[in-house]
Amino acid sequence: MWLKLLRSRLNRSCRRTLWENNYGDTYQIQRTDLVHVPIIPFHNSPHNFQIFTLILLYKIPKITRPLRTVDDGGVFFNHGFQENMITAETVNYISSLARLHLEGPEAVKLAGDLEAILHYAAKLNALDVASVTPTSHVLNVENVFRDDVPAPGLTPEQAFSFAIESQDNAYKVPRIIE
Amino acid sequence: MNTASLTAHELMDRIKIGGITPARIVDDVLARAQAVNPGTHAFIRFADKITAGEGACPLPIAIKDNICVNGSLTTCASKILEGFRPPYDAEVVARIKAAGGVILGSANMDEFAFGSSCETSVYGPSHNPWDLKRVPGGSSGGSAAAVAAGQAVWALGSDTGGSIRQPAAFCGVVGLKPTYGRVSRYGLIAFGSSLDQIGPITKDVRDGALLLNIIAGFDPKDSTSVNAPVPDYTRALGRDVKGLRIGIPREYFIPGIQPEVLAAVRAAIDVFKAQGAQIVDIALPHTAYAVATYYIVATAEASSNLARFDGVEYGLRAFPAVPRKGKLIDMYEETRAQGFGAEAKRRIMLGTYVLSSGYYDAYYLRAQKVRTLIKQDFEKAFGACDVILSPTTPTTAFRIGEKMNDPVAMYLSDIFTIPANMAGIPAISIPCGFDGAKLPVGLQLMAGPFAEETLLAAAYAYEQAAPWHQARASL
Repeated sequence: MWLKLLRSRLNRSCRRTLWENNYGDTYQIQRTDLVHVPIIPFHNSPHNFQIFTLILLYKIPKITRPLRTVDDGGVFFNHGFQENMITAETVNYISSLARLHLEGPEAVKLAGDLEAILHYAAKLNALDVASVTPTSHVLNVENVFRDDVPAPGLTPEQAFSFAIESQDNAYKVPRIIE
Repeated sequence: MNTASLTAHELMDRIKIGGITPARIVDDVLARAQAVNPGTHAFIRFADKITAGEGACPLPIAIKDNICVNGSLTTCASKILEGFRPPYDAEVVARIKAAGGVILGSANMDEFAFGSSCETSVYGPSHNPWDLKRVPGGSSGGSAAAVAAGQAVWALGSDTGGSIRQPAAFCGVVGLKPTYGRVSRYGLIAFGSSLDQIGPITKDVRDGALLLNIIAGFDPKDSTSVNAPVPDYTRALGRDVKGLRIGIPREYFIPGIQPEVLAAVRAAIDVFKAQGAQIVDIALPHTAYAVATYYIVATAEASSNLARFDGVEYGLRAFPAVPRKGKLIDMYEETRAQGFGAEAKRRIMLGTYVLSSGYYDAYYLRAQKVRTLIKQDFEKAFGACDVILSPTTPTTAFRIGEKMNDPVAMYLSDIFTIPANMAGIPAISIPCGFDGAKLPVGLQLMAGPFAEETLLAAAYAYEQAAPWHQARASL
């Protein structure tokens, strides 16, 4: 009887392509992949319990990144987030800014990951922050200077003791001017 | 009674009456640490030289691998810092050594503290002492697992978005994130400079107060450290919570929390009520935006902080087999490509993106503004209450591998801990029960800036009435 119930639930679940979690994020389900338990909240409503059980008993589809965020009551579904905004060129450009060499498959995966995260972050667009002052530091402190008097510190020998390569109290790097 | 299962204050009491020597404690705890480490992998390495200390608090401690220890390998669990031995002690390490503390070794962590499960460590994951198939949480997972398994009397962790409290909750120990500026970060390898804070992970609240006494205080070497007097935090313990206003933020009690976690936290509210605390319903309306805000602000800061790892000064230096852009640029790019793991690369890329021209206003500046709203939520809430109570995490410890392929799902396990970092306020996680699988549940208390005493008093009052902290994982 349980199996029958679960099977009917499974059929019903596969017909739907979107799941909404309890944080208000909507997820797309692809039928082909193995399951990943996607997010914390599949626990307590009877509805979610069934999803959870199915995950245990069946290879249900992979639940992928959030498609849209509806925690503002569904007024702004997409919050201005453009699909496929992280292109291969964007990844290449950002990786050169970050001085990070990426190999082909790595770049493709990162493009997908960044898009998913930025898509999630797009929920911030629902807030009106035009008149809000940004916080860069939580304490009301100003720049701190110490008195300009000599104090003991590391000797050059200590400072360079674990350097990769050093010479005459300086870090040595490959020749810059060829 | 087994030395390794005793708290720091119990051990100090025994030292005082001559019941045990510091040397014996070090021997016993080290033996335990080495015996169970193959199972927990809480330590990624033990210190080269371990000798009993002398001083006010000569107890063995585990140090998270992102806190510099003079002459000892300090790698942030990353390949890019392999072989790095800092030529100086972090301020917290210097203070611990001055108190006679004995550094047992480096506790495992997520690479550069980027993670909530310890799975991104280049040395492999740590395991939760309560169920070795589960994560200990992260990023200070090794520190929390070490304390829970009796592999250290106590430990230091660091907390940027919950990295002390979330693993403390998962491992059934006490984790305290002090107010931003309370503890010097000199010698902490930076992740998110406006969020990072070092704090104690201990077996009970009294130990948390004791270790905070040792590490807290002004340090001219850290320009964000605050020059404010440090009270004796143990004196706050035992303070009556009668009339204390405990705020319950409705946004933290959302559907989707594991029911057993919810039940344990509700029971904790009743414990406070029975002690005469006043329970107040409060609102923190921007809670739902905290995770998104955090992952913009923290990754922006991380991408900037991690720019220093480029093969020039320390750690790894690598060159591509085939030259690409010129020798120096090739060295930067290849060192970082080989040295950083997948999550570090993801965060560096995200942080660089949100700081890049054309996206700065849309992401970074907007996130800093939302951060203001989150901070204002707390300021308003602390007008109506003294302490805010919530679950530390929405679930108990998850299985190793469960969330590795879904970064957003992993990030959401920090949903209740991130807001305290955004606002810079102190917060503590204490054990408040177990779920059906005998996994610990964590209760989070938050207080206003520099109100660690209020926080510790409330936590201690709860712990005395509901001694969940006395349970030990059987290993």
